[in-house]
Amino acid sequence: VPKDPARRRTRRDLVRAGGLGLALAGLVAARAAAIRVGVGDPIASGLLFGLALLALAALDRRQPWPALWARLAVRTGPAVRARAAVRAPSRRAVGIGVAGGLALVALALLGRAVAGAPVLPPVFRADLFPTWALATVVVATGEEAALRGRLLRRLAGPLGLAGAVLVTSAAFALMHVPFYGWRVVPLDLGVGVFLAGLRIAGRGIAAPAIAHAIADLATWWL
Amino acid sequence: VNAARRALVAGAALAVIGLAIAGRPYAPLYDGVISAEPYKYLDPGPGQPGQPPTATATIKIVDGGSDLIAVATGESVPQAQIFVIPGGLAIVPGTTRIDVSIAAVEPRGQPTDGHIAGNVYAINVTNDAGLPIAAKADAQATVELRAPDQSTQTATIERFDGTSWQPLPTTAAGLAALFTAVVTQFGEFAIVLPGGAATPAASGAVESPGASQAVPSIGPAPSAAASPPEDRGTLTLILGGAAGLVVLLVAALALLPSRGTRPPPGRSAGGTRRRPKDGRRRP
Repeated sequence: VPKDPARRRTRRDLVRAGGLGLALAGLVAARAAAIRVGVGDPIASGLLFGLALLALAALDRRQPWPALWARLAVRTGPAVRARAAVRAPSRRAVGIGVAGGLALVALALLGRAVAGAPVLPPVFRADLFPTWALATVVVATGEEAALRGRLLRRLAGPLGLAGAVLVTSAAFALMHVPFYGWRVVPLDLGVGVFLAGLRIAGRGIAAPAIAHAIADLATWWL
Repeated sequence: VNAARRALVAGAALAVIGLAIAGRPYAPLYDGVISAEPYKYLDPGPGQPGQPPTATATIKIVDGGSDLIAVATGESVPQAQIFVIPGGLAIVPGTTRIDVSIAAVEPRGQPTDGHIAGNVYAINVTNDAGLPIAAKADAQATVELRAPDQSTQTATIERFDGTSWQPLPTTAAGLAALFTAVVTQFGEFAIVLPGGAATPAASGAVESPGASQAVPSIGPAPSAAASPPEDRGTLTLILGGAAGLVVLLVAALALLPSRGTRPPPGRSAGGTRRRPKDGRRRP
């Protein structure tokens, strides 16, 4: 173990980042396998995937209470300490997130117009919307908490900010390959870098999580 | 601020390039949660879901033209859908109503360029005399079918013209193994995958795990992707289980306290700053 505190911190961050990467890969593989084999309801498996990502981020942060729960928790015992540790997103971060989300939707509309998409989107069962929307938001938030939250923070020291953005964006792109194929890699790589920009501008994961959720929710209508 | 600006600009530029490369019609899908229930077969094999739902609708005539047609079967995601914009059908004067129906039917023949994946769907659009109605060439009338295997990324929608299967220009919708074709005539449609069928084509249950009947091979030998479905399912389960184990191990490691790592002065293990005992905030 290096004696220099800085080197020790770097080593620890790299080990933790490796662990996060492995865990992310494992979760993605498990979700892909569940979809492929047809085990369980896809919305439920998506929800579980998102919750697992949030749990992973919370574990890495060593904070026993997920942020949202801590905000909602009653003012007793450990919940008070957890509440104190969680900051509500600033209005600026929310604004940046909403603007970023609308930009992603605009990008999608532009792509659809250029590609000459079919006249109408697929029809989904309307009664599934509430649970679908919940799972979508949880997955988006979980991905941001794990990737742009913990993994980026762990890698920013050893690799520098640019390196961390590149690695987390590559991970973001690769984790979608089992579901949508290799052709999504360039697009998701770009979107990953864009979301990292929102993370830096918003000084937290609130902005990219909001943007990510807006972009994903838009798929219901687009 | 500069780093954020650079990342935003670079990300947007990369995304535009990626969009052009991907060429997805439904581009907004960065990571939607797709609620695609297992495929329902007209003639299911052992352990497969059956009884695929049908869909019917009566379309009004509005200002002498057809109203919007958006009809889909009841699964999530629908296994067969049809879309026609208002006025998109070539109806004869005097038509008072249009009937649309979608139903899984037995195939009346096999394609020569591949094998049918899933059900054959009869998508019929008729007027009040029961005569078939065609779509206008510029109406972009769309038929959309779902492949049974969620990982299907390339497929062709083909239409049975009464004697043989005719391929249609097909686009992957980009999610849930949906494929789209613009049509002018309706009738019987199916998703056709390259290579021979590994399992029975008669019911369309060719891509599904669990189908046990044998069928003569059609076309070239099956590719590696069309390896015995049972093996693929078992392998997938093993991989999924192994992946889950990795997750548990990593989670356990993350929970264990790190050797030699103490919280830095002034910080708790949870990352919160402790206030000095005198109650004053640190600068």
